[in-house]
Amino acid sequence: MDSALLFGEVPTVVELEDVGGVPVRHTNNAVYSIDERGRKWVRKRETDMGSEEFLGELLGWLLGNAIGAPLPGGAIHLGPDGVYSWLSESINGVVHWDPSLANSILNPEGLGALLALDAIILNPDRHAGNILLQFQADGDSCKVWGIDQGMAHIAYPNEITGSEDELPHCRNVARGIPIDLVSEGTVAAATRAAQLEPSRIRGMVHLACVWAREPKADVIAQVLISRCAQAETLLRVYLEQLRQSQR
Amino acid sequence: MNSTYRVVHFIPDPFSGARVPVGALVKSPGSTGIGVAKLRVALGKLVGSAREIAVIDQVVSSLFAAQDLSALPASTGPQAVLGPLLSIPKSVHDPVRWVEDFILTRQEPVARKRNERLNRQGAGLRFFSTYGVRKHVKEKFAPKDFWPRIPAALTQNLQPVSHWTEGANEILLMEPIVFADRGLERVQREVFARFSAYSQILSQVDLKATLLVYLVQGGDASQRRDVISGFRSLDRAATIDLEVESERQAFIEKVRTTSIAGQPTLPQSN
Repeated sequence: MDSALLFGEVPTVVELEDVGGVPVRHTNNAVYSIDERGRKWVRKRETDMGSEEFLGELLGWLLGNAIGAPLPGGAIHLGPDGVYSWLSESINGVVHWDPSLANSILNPEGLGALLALDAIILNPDRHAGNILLQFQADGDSCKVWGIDQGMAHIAYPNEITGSEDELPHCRNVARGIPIDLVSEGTVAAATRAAQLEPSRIRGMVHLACVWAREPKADVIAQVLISRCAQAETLLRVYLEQLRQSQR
Repeated sequence: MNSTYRVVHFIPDPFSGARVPVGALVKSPGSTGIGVAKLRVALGKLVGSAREIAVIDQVVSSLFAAQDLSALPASTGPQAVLGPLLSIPKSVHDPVRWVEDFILTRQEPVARKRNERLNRQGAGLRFFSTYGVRKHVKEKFAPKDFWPRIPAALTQNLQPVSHWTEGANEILLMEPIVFADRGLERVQREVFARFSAYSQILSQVDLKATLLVYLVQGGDASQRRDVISGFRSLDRAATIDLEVESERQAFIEKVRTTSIAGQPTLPQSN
């Protein structure tokens, strides 16, 4: 794990050059960008995303890393115009989720952990375009990556009070996810979430809220601590709802 | 009115600006569907790695889900883009072939070895591996070898079956269906004809065999419904939709229990 991550920090990037737009619809004007160290990113500017989505990405990334969800590396960039961008590491050799590749997945537990993350942060946006399948060097098997947690409802402090036991709706979740194959990973990630110290969760939330200039960090922290504590229960229900919706 | 097409380009690395044409979507006037023109060049000559070839294979398979020329199907992913809309001369009778012959082919045609991932039998075996029952499934059931006592006149016209599991008193004969190519209808017809022949023989001899058509994950929901409906009239056969968890679980369990029942028990040792 990145050593910076151990302290709950989000890496920052100093200099970026945009290369061109990401040829996918509904990406908040995402562009490919490259930094001074040659690292390749998908960049979304906060002004295109809105501050809640920016916060959702940050929170999702921090919590996702803590519970073992396979998310690309992340970073923040402050542009010369004073606008923040959320950077997600560019993953090459990918296609979007396709049920025909369900038996080629190397990390079904990772896909399960992504579902756990979505349930905890109330992200209803795990459609096929937000699950990347990266072919491995053998050209045969592929690794799952999750992208785009910006729609997570946890980033809306005025709306989440009292939503401790709510779940995201399943109608947008990609078709053909083999729940039986990934559920072990979901349960394991939920257990990891339940074991997170409240102080660590509070630290993540405050850090993300500082970057996103969100003043109601305490509200979000309280809800997220509660949701993590009961993650195992939430995920049992969510998996059953997913099973129903996949029929 | 002219037929039109848009070339599909693979982007090996969005940071290099390179584009590789890998196929095309073709729309003919009066036709409701979209044609897919495929590359007739070995992919290894265009891109370097097995990973890139696999992505292109997947991109091209996804093209068959295209509804029109305005956009690529979502499952093609972020490394494929459409070129501009272009016209095909009015006198061309086979627009897809024309695009393959004159737009996409720049080198001599080469037979491309199909990736096992997209191969029907390979996709089925991969499913059995994923769910831990691969060891219970054998490949290529040949009736004359397994049923030597049945008169050759009855079995000589039976084609081999892709996968099978041997039990104590019954045998499971299994044919996978995949949705990755435009050969789906042909495969459907072949499997139907093959299992019809088995069904007829099984009605005449005292053998317990179960004919199972299993639909590997993929394709769109309407395609899957059509295939299931197409096999409904097949006697003595069941169709299993592997995208349905309950059917998938029951199928895996059936394979496992049948195979275990057919394994010789070891003598008790004191």
